Amino acid sequence: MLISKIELNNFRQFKGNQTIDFSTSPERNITLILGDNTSGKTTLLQSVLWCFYEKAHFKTREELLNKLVAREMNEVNNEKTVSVTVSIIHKNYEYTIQREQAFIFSNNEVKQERGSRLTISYKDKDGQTEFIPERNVRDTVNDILPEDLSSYFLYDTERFGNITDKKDVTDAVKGLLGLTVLENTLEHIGRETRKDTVLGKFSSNLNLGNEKKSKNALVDAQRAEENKEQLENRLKKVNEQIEYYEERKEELQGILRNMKSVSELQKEKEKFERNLNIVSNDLENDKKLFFRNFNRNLYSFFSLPLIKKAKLKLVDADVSDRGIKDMNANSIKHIFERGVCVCGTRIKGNKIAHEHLQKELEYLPPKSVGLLINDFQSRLDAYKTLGETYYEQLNQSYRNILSNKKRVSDLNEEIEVLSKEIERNRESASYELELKDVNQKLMGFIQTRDQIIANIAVEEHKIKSKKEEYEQSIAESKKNKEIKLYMAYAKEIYNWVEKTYKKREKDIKNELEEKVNEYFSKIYHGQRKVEINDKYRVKLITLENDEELITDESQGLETVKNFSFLAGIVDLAKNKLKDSKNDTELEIESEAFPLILDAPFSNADERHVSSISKVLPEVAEQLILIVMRKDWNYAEKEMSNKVGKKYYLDKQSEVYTIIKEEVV
Amino acid sequence: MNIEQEEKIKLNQKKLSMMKLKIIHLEKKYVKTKFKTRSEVIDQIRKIIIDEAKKNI
Repeated sequence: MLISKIELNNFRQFKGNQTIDFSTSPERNITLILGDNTSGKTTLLQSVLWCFYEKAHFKTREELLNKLVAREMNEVNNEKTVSVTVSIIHKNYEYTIQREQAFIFSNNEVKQERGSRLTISYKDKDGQTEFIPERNVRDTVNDILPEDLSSYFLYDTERFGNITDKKDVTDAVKGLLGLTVLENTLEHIGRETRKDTVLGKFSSNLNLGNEKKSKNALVDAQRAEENKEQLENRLKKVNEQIEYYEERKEELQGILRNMKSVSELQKEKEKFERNLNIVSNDLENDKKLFFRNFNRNLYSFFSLPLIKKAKLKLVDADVSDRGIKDMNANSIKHIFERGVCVCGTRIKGNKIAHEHLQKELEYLPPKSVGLLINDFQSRLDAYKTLGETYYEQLNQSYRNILSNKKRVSDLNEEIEVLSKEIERNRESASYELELKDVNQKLMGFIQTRDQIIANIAVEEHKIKSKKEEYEQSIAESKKNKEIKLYMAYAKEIYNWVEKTYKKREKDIKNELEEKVNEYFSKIYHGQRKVEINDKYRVKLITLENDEELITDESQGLETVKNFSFLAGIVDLAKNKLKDSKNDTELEIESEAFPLILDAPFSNADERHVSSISKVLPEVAEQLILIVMRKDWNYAEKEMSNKVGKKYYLDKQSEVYTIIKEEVV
Repeated sequence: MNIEQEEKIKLNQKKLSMMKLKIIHLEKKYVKTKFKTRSEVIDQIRKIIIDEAKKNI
């Protein structure tokens, strides 16, 4: 960033429009501004701070407006503006930053309007002027020169104090040399254990339980498949047995039917057996129907006894139905308010109609609960009817079950009687006994078959549900996999930043100490050296007979130390810090800023002014010196050949200074 | 399950470089202007990583 121009308009002692064009030439990079005491040297530096950050160290804000201009204001000439416009070159773009503050004359005094206005424009590549949107102007200023670094580049000697005591020096050095960027990146990516970090947020999106769940679901589904297969094999064998015994049964029945002595008995028995089959099927169907009905209206089954009890309780209740159904007291109140009934009768002034409605209120809730009870009873009746029908259906099913059970039992007895008779016949006895055995085995196998079929259905259901569970978990596992990939990238970036940060921090501390000592030795003529600790705090060490001592510092020495440090960080900041390990194009670049120095030599002696003057133009890209003539005299010898522009603050009075350009 | 014990995930170096560039660019802007809140920057970094990781290169 280079400052090319500043325009002051009624700013403090700079009445009217006054301009300074700064030198942007690399060879003659000094702009010299000379001024006597109270001519406005510090005001000039403050004007840049005010323009950029609305920050100016004056006693009162009203003093921004030139006093002569303020004095000229009256009821007619009642509006004036203070403005500072700074033109800069930043990243190859020409920016114009302007801050305006309006003042008005009201009630015989000059008042500052609330809030100043900051506007920023720049010239695009085609030379067209574009304005930064108002919401972004503050961000843009900070992007150009961060406020927390401003005191190091807009250097006010009187206010700067001792660099050793400056609390923000660590942040300033880190900010300037790109370490804050890395430090913030580390803090933002963070650790998985910290929720409000990139890794923490990724981690909280992971569902690690799902991985186990999906594996378990798959194992369960596979196990169910195996079970189903085993059951199907068993079913096949059981069916073979059933088929065999059914064939044998038919053979035996045929034999018995063909035996003249028991043929009729056997035919009779088979007739009963057919009936038994039919009735047994009916019995099964009745059971199913009963359970289906029971489940369908379970609520009625349990509520009917309660409904009956409730009805008994309400037998003696006053269920007056004189009120209108579904009408409530609020409706009547509304009719009163609107003054006309739903039938069109006017209520207002109509005593009879009014009384009718008043009476109606007596029958309605909350005054009367008769209507509510009546309504409740109607509902109870409806539920009771529904419940009773349901009970009747259940009863019917139950009666059918009992009846069929009895028929099954009777038929079995009939069959048993006939079987015994056939057994008594010597010729048919062995066949009948075998037939009985076959029937028993058949029944056993059929029961086993039904059980296997039911078990297969259970396994099939398990397979289906576990497969669904597995699919769902797999989908979530895929998501986990993605998140883990993101986390791997985040960790890799974290490790890279951490490594880069540690290396740079160490390098910067060493390089800075080296640079500051280099400049210190150039500026200071004595046996001292500079030490910089991990917090970038500067300490002066005196070398006495090879012994290191800490001694008191004069104001002059403080100035030398400050400038050595400033020169050191400006020099380092000019260098681009490259990612040496990966040798990529990735750069954590620092920026070069202009140095605007107000009264830099005020505490230094002639010899030190001369040496400071040698160093600063070399290290800074642009140097703006605001000094008194007497101080300049010591620096002139070293700096005059680098001065590109020269101005004099010509003090006309305590409240008026004219900026005059002088020949270089 | 310990994530650290997971098998090494292969990372695409081009994507990684792009992520680093974009994140540092974002952080540089954040350090100067504080144009976003901390939480917004964290979400933005997550988005950079997700978007770059998903790209077909």
